[in-house]
Amino acid sequence: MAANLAAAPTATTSALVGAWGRVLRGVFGVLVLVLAREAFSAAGLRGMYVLTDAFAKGMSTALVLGAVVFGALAPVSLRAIGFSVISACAYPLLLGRWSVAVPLYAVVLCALARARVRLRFQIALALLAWSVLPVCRWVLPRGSFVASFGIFPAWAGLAYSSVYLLVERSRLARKPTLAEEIFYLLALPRVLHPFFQPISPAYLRRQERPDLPFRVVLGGVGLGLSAMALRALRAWLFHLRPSLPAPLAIVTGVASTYCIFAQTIFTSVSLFRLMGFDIASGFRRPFLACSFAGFFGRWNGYVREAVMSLFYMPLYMRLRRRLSPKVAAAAAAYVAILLGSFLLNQLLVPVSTSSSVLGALRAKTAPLLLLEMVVYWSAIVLPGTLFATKSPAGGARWFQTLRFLAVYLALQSAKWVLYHGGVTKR
Amino acid sequence: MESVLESSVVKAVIDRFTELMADTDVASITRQTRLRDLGLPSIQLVEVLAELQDRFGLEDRLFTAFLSDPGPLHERSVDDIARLVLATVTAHGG
Repeated sequence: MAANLAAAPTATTSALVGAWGRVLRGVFGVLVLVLAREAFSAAGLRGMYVLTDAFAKGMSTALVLGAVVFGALAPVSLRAIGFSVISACAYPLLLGRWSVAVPLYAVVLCALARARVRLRFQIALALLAWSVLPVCRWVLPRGSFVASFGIFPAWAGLAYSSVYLLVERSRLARKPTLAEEIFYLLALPRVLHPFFQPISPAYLRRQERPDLPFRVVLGGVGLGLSAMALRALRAWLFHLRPSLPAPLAIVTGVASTYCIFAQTIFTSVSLFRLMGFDIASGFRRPFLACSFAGFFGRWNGYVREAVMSLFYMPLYMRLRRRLSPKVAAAAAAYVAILLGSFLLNQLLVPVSTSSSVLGALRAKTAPLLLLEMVVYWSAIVLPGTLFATKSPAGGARWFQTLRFLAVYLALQSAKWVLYHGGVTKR
Repeated sequence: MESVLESSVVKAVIDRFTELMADTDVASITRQTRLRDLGLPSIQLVEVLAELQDRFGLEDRLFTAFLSDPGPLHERSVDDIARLVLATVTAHGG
């Protein structure tokens, strides 16, 4: 009894120390990034957030700080609810009145996920509900969305996430709670810096670290700083490129593309990490890949995981009963990349974020671009399937990387000649 | 103490990856080896799962078990795969 009485204040003290330690770690991470953002802005470079006016910058900083402090102090069971409430407030504050559609859509999707309907109908209905906003933008007068223009990038990322949520929910023995699903769909990084790589809801939940280890905070800070540096590098390359000779223009073109894609997901993942989610960066040194398949996985890790989990494995499971393993693997891979990488990511995102739906659709389905895609997909699929050998990865790793880079740059050069050499212009 | 079944599953998984990496400079494969360190494309990792599924007569159960425990394939270790096979074999009554 006496021992219990003595232990109670010790436990309370240690819980308090732990909570304030988490607050300090989280606030430290946010402050470092805010200071860096201001330093980049002072140097004439855009910082971390897409939102650049003073109100949006101040509000986004306050929201991140609020989420970090709340996440540090709240009981684990309340984190998802609290984060969702903060995000639900953030949408109309930062993205205008039309962004109320996002919480509404999240509620509709969660209801749909719980409806006793077949998965394929759930997905079809979810995509139909998702398409309402892009259609409104298409049919309503041009000025209707002036104050809510930022909603479209956030909305674009929701389509793939919805499919992910529905499919994973149908597979899991322990179904996620309503609060967990609402948090996944509304998550603050989606408002502050929309991302288009689909992060698995189950993976996000599994990687939650409510104790906010310093390692995770440092990882978030490092990734945020990398994102800012990549933005700055991209801006520098953009100004430099027109004056460069062709070989250097090709290399800087590849580097610029990397900067654009990597900084987007790095910023979002950095925010997730500061909120206590220890998730992968999404880009893992793609130019150290040994093959196009490796490059695809390293370039956009979350898309690769979604393609494999949502499309490739279920298709391969079915096809291998009817076809030879190699043919089944190749067919499943082509279809999976078409659906999971091209349709839901490369096509849907620009079409739903562009002010000219038809223009974006035409640009993304131009014959030369489609041919380029088919060549790239074949380079990913065929060496691992129809042309697979018993020991596919022969030779030292560095040699394979050099060989891959040589082929990759040769293809980029051919593309450069096609687009800039008089055949056509983008 | 490892059971005979566990030893045979672990050996089958390690042997298959060792065979795939035979001509490379990847050091010896152990239970702790992460799949991403092997540098194999996802398609080939899935093919290994399919081979293990066939070898232990699991029909589609290994794929189903894998998909109901989502997480990046490349972040898993050889041991994770062996445990998944073992759990599926055991649940199947092997």
